[in-house]
Amino acid sequence: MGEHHTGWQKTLFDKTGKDVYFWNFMILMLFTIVEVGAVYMSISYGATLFALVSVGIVKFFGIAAFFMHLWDDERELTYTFAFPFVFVAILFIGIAFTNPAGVIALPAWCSPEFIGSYSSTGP
Amino acid sequence: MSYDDHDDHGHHGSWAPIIASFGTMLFLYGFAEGNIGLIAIGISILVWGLFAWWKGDLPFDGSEKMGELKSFGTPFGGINVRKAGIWLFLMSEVMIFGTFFGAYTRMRSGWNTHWTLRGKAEEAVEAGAPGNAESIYDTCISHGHVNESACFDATNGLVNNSFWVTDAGTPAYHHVAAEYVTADFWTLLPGAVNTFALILSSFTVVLALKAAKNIDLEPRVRDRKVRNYLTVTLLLGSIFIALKLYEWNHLIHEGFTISTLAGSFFYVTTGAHGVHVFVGLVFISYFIYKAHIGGWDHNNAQSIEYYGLYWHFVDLAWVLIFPAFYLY
Repeated sequence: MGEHHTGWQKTLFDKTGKDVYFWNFMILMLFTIVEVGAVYMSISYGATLFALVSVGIVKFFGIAAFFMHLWDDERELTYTFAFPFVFVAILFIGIAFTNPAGVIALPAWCSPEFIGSYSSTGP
Repeated sequence: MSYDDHDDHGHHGSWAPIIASFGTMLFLYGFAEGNIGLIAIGISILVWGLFAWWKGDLPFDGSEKMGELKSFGTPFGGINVRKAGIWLFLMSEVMIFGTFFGAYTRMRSGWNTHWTLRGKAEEAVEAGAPGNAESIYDTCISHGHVNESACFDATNGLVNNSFWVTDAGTPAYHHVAAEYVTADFWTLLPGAVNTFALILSSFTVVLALKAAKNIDLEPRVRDRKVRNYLTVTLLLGSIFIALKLYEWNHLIHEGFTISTLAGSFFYVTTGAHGVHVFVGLVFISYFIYKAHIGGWDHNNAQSIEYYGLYWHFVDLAWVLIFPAFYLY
């Protein structure tokens, strides 16, 4: 917990008077403002996507590492939390990012019953 | 298993969680079958289990302060059993939300407007539309938002009204919530406020835990701080639910309903997240009551920590849902 204040967290508390949880909260709020602002700025589609993904990663780390105490807790808990993301990554790579024709090109035993109802060219 | 503050009391494992789980199973089965009787029975058993669980926690006769069970097996050796259990539970939650995100990404990357319109733009060029496919595509989707009339003009009518709306007048499957939300700042505002509210509520849970663990505080001051921080968390979570329902009402009136493919992904994902928030509010209500009657101190504050893990995960899920479903 933050009140133990060891290492860099102690240095941060000594210098600012606020613990890591407070600064983590402030950073999360700041990045949320950046994230919302990014979609209203006249930047390219790719830049917007990069901004959203980057901010998402930063906020994810902030919440998981400090609010959920993974930074200070046993590594086994981090591995436990990270383990299902392996399957999520497989889900994304194997299903989410495949060609839309992947659905209609599946073998018959793997095809959902709605095959042929959707196509990549729209309704 | 071992104890860290062992005394003469044997550990009183509770049967209430399995009862609550059984009630949840009946409720969900009844919900899937549309059986009102089974739903009612399931909810009744679930509520009974929760009350029995909390009633068992209430005596505050010292038996609840016997300390945490610690596991000794691999890989959680030396870690509090309940803490390891919460993380194992969160593993399952990661898979649940992972499937939602996987399906949504599949839809956005494959069938949605971008890929479909690229094909339509190429068809339009082949049919004699001016410009090239890329410029037509950029006209159709300006800054990530769909411009239906411009797209109609740019493709010589190839992407016409039937592409965007069904005969019934509802939007076709490829419209996503972000097209309605980010088009108007005041429509985006509830989602942004929700994001701020959840992040702030995560912070207040952390503050409540710090107060509960603080042995330097007077008991009455500690109880008041814990109660107040948890109450703020409850209020922020309630704001989230209220704004969520307002958003849904607005989107449905705009025509973005669950009957569309994109709508089904959106409402199921955000709805599942909302149910998680609601469940969290139910539990924190008991925690607030317990703080009000002086039930927390550094010996049993771990329960707030374990609840906090669940609540922070709910916040984490929203941190990913908000940009994906509302901004992109």
